[in-house]
Amino acid sequence: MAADTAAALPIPKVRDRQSVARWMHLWLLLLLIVMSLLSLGYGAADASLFRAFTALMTGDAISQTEQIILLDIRLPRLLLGITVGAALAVSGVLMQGLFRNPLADPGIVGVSAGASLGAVTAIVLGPLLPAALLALMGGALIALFAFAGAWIAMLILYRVSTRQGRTSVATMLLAGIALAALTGAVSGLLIYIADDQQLRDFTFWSLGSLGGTSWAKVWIAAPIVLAAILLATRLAHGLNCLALGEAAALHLGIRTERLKSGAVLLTAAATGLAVAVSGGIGFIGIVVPHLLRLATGPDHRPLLINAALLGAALLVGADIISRTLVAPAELPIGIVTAVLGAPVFLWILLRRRGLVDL
Amino acid sequence: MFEAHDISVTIGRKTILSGVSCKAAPGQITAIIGPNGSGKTTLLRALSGDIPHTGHITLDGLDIGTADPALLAGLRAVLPQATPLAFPFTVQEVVSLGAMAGLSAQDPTLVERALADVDLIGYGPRFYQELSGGEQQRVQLARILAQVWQPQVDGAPRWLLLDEPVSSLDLAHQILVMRLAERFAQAGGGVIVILHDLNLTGMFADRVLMMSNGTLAHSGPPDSVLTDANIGAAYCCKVQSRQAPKEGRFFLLPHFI
Amino acid sequence: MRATGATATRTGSIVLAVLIVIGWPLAAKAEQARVVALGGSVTEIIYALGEEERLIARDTTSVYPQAATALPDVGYMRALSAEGVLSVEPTLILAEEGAGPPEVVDILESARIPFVTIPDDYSPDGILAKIEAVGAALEVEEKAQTLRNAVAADLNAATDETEALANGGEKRVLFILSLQDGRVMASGTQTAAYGIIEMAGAQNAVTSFTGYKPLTDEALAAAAPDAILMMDRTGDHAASNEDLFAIPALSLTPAAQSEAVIRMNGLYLLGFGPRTAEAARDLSVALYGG
Repeated sequence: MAADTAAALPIPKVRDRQSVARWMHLWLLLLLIVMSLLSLGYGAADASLFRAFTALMTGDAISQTEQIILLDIRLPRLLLGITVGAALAVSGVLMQGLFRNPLADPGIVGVSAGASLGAVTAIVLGPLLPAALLALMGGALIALFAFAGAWIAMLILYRVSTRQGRTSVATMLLAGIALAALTGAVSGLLIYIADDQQLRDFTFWSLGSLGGTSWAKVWIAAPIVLAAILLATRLAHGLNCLALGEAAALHLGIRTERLKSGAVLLTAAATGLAVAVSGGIGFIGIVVPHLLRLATGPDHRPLLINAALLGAALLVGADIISRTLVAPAELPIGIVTAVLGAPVFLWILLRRRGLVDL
Repeated sequence: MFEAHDISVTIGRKTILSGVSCKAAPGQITAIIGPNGSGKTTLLRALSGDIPHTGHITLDGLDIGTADPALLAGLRAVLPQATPLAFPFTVQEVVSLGAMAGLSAQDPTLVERALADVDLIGYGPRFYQELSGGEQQRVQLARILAQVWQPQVDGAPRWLLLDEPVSSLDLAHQILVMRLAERFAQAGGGVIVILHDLNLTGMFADRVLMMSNGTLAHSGPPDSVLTDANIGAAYCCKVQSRQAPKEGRFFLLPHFI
Repeated sequence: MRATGATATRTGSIVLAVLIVIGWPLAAKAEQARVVALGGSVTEIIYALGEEERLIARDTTSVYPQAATALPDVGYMRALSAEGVLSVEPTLILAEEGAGPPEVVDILESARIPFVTIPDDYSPDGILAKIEAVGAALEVEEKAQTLRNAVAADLNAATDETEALANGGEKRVLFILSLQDGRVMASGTQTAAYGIIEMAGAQNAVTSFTGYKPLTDEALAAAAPDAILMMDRTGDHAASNEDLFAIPALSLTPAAQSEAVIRMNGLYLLGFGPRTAEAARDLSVALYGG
């Protein structure tokens, strides 16, 4: 009887959400491809992708400068942009799922504060390192310090909020605020002793840029971030269950401790790398998951993949703007993402207010 | 058989349960009753494997403390008192989380059938957060029903652990939910349920565990536990059962709905 | 038909010949170097050498002479964009110390564009070394030598003049980089401000730290400057005399009593380029009176 009634019902809207989510993979992939082609084809220099292709087809040589612009500047920058955008958006999804709060971002687990402290340490105290060491690390000094800072902060936070093998998400949230204040104080101290130039360096770092891209950074960051995203998709079902609360997730058969530590470690790896290679880029981690939840619902299985694709596409788009708006100079990309992201974020908040509790 | 042996739970410096030993058999509804703060929910959480405790709890011989959560999820489902939901999931998505955790996940009609059981036909596409408190509670019940859809699998019982499943329900739905539990027990499953309503307890329970101050005060069939003296002592309140109030005052018992 | 074709060919060759005749020197000059200058003083030196027609782009800090601001701006010299710099098709990049980021410099070098770093030192010798380095990079050593000698003579003369003006009574000068919410960001040692104050025959009022740092009220009072030196600009660095002397610690200083506040153009004052001798003279005159 009950089954008959169920069969007579119109097709539930939920099915639509799932198929929309699956179609969304395709649309977002197309968007990313379009953005990538734009990014390769468009820039301050008029080296065009089209000409390079024609040259490749007809066997003509393209000039060495054009080759460098396409292969050593735009291509690695595109790949790093994809990596960073995907890493930030996926980290956002993980953190929002873990903290069950749509406003959470990777900053919550101390990653941003730690990376920032690492960067300012490298900028201000870096020159005091032995010259041989400096020469060895070269331009990667700030990135290395930022990454180390991100991990140290995350590990401290995790240690503080874990007792008897159980991690308290609430403690982590509060300890994160305390840790951010502490790293802020230490950063402040370093900023105090910094000279004028170091101050400007740090300001530019914290605004974010893909300007310092090199193939080395791509080779280091891209595989790790890709692996982190693939591993993150395995947490999707667990995060769905976690939306019902930790106890309910456990009752549904989720190893919640493993889920929590997995989400935190993957976020630290992905965001830590993203921040290390590109500085502070905001809003991608909050706006991207939010937009996608509006479109396809909160199911984390399609959400994680969609977030990676949309995050990558948006960051590549933002980078195109950052590279071309004030060419031949360039605008820090953090400014672009904030200008694009903040109004979208506000719009989402106003639109959702009162309807559904976020 | 759900067996707890000498269970104690301490949170901070406060002892919430001390030395509780009890049993619940499949094919029966085992009701946990007692005043506020007597340790009912803590006992149920210990049985669910949520909180650290001393002593041993076994579910058909399986140690709750060390068992794989995924294995336990196939054997028992737990309905908490209240379930906040973080994101705008639909009813169907919430119920299918339960279905996926259980053994009947491949059944495509499972979600709709579970919703039909709790009188929520057609609610699948609606947002969980838009529902009333009572409707949300029934969605959660549908979720755990979908998790242990078959009360018995190959002769082994499945278990429902319910923490006040009728607390925000109207009269008709209280009876509906208790009848679901009864049906589940009659089909060979085990039900452990915390109840505040002693009338419902008397109507449906096969066995009653009466908690008082963190200990198990009485256990046994309803008739032997639900005496005026036992209830009066545990709840600190003089009661008189099995008698109509004087002077034709209003009273209602849902026995004949 | 054939006749028309022949005419066209002939016209074509004439046009080509004319183009070659006119274009050749231009092309040769372009071949010589297309220079991007990074850093205000480097740009100034290139103009002083009369090599400005080789300049094709500059950085944000290169705002003197006025003509330089018409050039494309490749951004702040410590946050350059590799493609941005390459897009102006330079054949030589002249940069003050600290241009970057390093990855961008690596790419520019891999594009076989010579990247010459001009050493920076806030002293008269530093200026001369800069001129020599720029001259060598542009392969105009003779012109550079002439300019160097002229600037050296000018600097020596300026030093003599400022010493004469100071007449043994060196004034204490406090350089204020910015003033926000009553907090004074002042110059310590090892800064361009420190260098120019020394050259102007005065002494920096703060010697207890290097670089630019916020000063406490007590340190301000203890510095007891005879004069306050600031950059002449609008925006968050701008501060009126009232703002300045509203700060209790500053109001007690000799500078406040005599209202000795000197404002000078930032690049002129702190650029350490060809105009620095003049700047030192101006500062000295402002301090001690002409």
